[in-house]
Parts: sequence; structure tokens; C-alpha cells
Amino acid sequence: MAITYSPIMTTTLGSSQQSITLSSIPATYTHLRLKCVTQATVGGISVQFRLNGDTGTNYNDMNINGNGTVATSSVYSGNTYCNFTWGAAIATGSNWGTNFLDIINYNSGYNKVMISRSGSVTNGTSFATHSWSSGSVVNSIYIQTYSDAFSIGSTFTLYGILKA
Amino acid sequence: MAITNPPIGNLAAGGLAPLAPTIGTATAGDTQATVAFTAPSWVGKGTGTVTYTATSSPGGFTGTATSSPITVTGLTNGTAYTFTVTATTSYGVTGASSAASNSITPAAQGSYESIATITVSSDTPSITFNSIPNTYKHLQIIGMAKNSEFYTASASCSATFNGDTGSNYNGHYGYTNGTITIGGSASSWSNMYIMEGVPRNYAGAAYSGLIWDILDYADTNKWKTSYAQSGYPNTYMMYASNLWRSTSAVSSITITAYGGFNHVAGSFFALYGIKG
Repeated sequence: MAITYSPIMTTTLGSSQQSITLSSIPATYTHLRLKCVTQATVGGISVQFRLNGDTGTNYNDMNINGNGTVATSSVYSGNTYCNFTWGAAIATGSNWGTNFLDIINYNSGYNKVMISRSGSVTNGTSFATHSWSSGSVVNSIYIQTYSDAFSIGSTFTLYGILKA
Repeated sequence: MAITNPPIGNLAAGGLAPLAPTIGTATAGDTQATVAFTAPSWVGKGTGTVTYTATSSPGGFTGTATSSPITVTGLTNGTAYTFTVTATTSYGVTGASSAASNSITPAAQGSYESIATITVSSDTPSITFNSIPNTYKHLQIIGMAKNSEFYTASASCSATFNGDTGSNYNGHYGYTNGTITIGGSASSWSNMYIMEGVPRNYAGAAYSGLIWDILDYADTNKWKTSYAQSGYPNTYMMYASNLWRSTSAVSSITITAYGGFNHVAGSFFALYGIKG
């Protein structure tokens, strides 16, 4: 029986850097699930991602965000990246930001629809849906901080999920 | 002297060797792998059964079959392997090896297993997962959907358990189009609101995504709690928590398209069991 939920790759930063790329993603799964635990050298900022190195205006976001005081919603169309709002916690103590991204049917010929949850206890929480206007199979994920850099120890793990 | 079994092609009694198979995709399992391949156009002399052998590198572990795929057992979990495939005729003549397969790493089965997937091939008003085993702790559905209706901004999907269409569901939800945010609740619905932002049928290649978690679904001491997240950024997105006021184990799940319309082709829902 094939393994339904398998780790594909994981990266833990040994030095701070502004971005990482998860590349050579096999096309043999049905969905991808990305889990990130991150800090940024400044912190409290968004984590952004692109697929297949596409820097065109092909990304759309819609999100609901809460910072413990107010809840807001927003929509972005025709961006050059997608956002994990508040996905990177400020690098103080043991606070880390979390980012979960599901890329549904990533190896299909349809536009890619994604669902994410992100946030950190120091800044806020966000739930979002994203899309990438491309029928290409996802073969790489580029992840960057909005500004400054990911701290040492930030971890990025990609899983593949099969369907029956 | 009578000639029996005349050689074909050359003087070897078994005839020409088969051509190399075309390697397919290798898939990892628990201490094993499944290797797919395509048979060569020439499989050698005779009409007897051709046997295909997959061989691992490293280790030289083998498996045989008369058609694709081949299962190779005895592998070590955590070790990466590639595989080649050869064809052997009924005369015992083995041909050239295929190219090497993709690399796989066997591992023990985890706690997340695929139960069933329903892919819509033509418009249908609802889909149903039946005979759901009660051997897991939780269920998760990953899906994407488009609605056949043409006129509203976006459509939704609702769900019922075990065919129950009585007023036995509670729900609490919030949804947004990025500009306005709406929340609501109800204590006597006849179904569960699980999906929003389902694009209209003419919205190109766009489908709404769904992650729906159903917790303790087989616990006969509890009402059934679930949490759904869904949406598409050009329409709406939604989160909802739902309650089915029944202690029955969930054995079937029906997901229905909005307003008497249909899930269109390309919509699919994949059901997973999560152990705990």
C-alpha cells in the first residue's frame, strides 16, 4: 500500500537568510502540505511565497486577520506573491510564527487553489485562501520574509498527500 | 534430421531477447515498493507468458509479475532505492534493463490514510461517501468544487451525515469577500454549511478549495463536531464549525451543491482517516 502522507523535504536554517526555495517537488502526489515554523530577525511581519519561480501578477489572496483587538478582512488580486499574514514571529525568546499551507490538486491542469493558516502569539492570526492563475504542476515553492530575514532555526517542511 | 523449435532471428534456441521495458513510476510502501512499467513492443520468441522482474539499487532486491506493476519487498525503511525492470520470455531469455526509476524511500505507514476519492466526471447534484470504516479517530476531507449555476457571485456546499436530513445540525460560521465580513449561526439546520466561494460554472479554471475536519467521528458517546475552511480568493472564503446532534458513528457523508444545482466535472472530494 502506498504511503498516503509522506515527508518530501525539510529545511532548517543554520544561518539567517531572507528566502528559501523548495525545489524539484515530485509530481507523484495529489496535494501538498507545507508547514513552517519561523522567526524573523525583526519579526511581526508577513511571509510571502511564489510557485515555480513565477514573478508575474498571477497570485490572489483573501484573508481574515485578528490581532486580539480587531478583526479585518482583505482581498488582493494580481499580486506577484501570496501572503502568510503575520507568519513570522519576532525573534524574541521562544516565540515562533506558524504557517500551514495546503496546495490542493497541485499536479492538475486547473488554477491552483490554496488554504492557509498563519500567525504568531505576539502579532496575530490569519486564515486565508489563495490562488495561482496557472495550470502548471507545482514544482517549486519560494518563501521569503516581507522584510529582513528568517532567523536561524526556522524550519520549512513539505509533505505530499496521495488520494485513493 | 527434423528441425524442432527453429530459432528465430539467430541461432540461439530461445530466440532474440526481448526489448527493454519502459520504466514508470516507483511508489514507496512499508518495507516495499510498487514499480510501474510499460511492456516492450517485442517480447521475444514464442507465445508463452513473459515475466517481468524489478530489481532495486542498492541491494538487488527483486519482485516479479506478468504485468505492471511489480511489488518488491524486503526493503529497508529509510533507505532510498531506484529500480530497473527486465522482461524474460517463457524460454528463459532475459532482455535489456529499463532505465532507472525515480528514487523512493520506503517508510512505515503513518497515521493518515486515504479512504476514498470521488471525482465528478459529469454534472451531479451531490456525492456520497458510503461505508466509512469506524477504525480511525478523525476524518479529513480535502476537496475542490465548482457549481453549475451561472448567475450568483459564488455558491456554497452543504453536507449531511448518515443520510440524516432532519433538523439535527447546529452551525456557526463566518465568511468574507475581502470587503464585507458576515457571521451567523443556527441551532436546527437540516444540513451543515461547509463550503463557500464555489465559483460559477463559467469562471474559467477556478475551483474553491476545502479542508474539512470531522473529529471523533466514530465515538458513540459524543455528538459529532467538525470544522471546515474553504474558499477561492476571487469569490468568498469561509470558516465554519458544525455539530451533528447524534451519537451515531459517521458511516456516510453526502456533500450537496448549492440551490439544486450541480457539482461540475473536475470537482472532487478525497476522504482521509486519521489514527489517534
